[in-house]
Amino acid sequence: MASFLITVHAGRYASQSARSALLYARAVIAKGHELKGIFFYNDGVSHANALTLIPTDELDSGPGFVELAKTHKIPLLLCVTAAEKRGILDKTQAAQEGFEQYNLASGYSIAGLAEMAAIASETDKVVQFK
Amino acid sequence: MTKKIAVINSQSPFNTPAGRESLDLALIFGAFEQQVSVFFIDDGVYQLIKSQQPEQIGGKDFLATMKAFELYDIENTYCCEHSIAQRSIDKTTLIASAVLLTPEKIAQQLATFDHVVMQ
Repeated sequence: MASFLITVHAGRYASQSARSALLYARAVIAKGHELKGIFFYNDGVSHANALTLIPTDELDSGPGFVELAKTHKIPLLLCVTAAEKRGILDKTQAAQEGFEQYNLASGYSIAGLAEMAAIASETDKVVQFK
Repeated sequence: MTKKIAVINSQSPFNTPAGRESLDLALIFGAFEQQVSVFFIDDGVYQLIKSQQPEQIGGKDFLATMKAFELYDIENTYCCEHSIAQRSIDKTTLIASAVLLTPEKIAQQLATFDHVVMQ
């Protein structure tokens, strides 16, 4: 058994790469490995935008990650800086910055690169999807 | 636990935030006392050219942050020789800390790392 950290750098909409990350995450769990978390960086943070409407016949890796995280208690972590720059804020951040709206989807947590680096340093395999 | 981590840059510096976000990655791993080396390949080699003036196109000079590599114990900055030649880049225009390697040597190097991240 090995431990894994998956990082998703590709955007949520119409990205096969993000979809592959989800399939890979499922496979890691199915094979009995430990998945320590899924970290969203670069445009990958778009997964956590709750205000996203994608028709069911088009590619959307968003709901799959949330379901996987819920079922297997896998943390879905977002880089706070990458998220802020791309318009993804939780309630607290939004209030701090004087925005009336916030849009962080439930199931995701705002974290930072530091958290990712800490996990990576204790993990056998870091697998990146960009 | 200390891991050997390679951060690969393959994109030009000012078209997208890839280079900037990659630099953040390298620095954070350095701050966590991981053994970090940074590689520049393909269009990423454009990030190593000295004295660029991104202000002229409304950009910020994040490349200057590479000077902090030593401070963060980022050990090596490797540049793909082949990518330099392909783009007719004059080697003397590159920052001094960049070590030129052939693609074969880069592949050999990468095989020794625990984690590889690419931008």
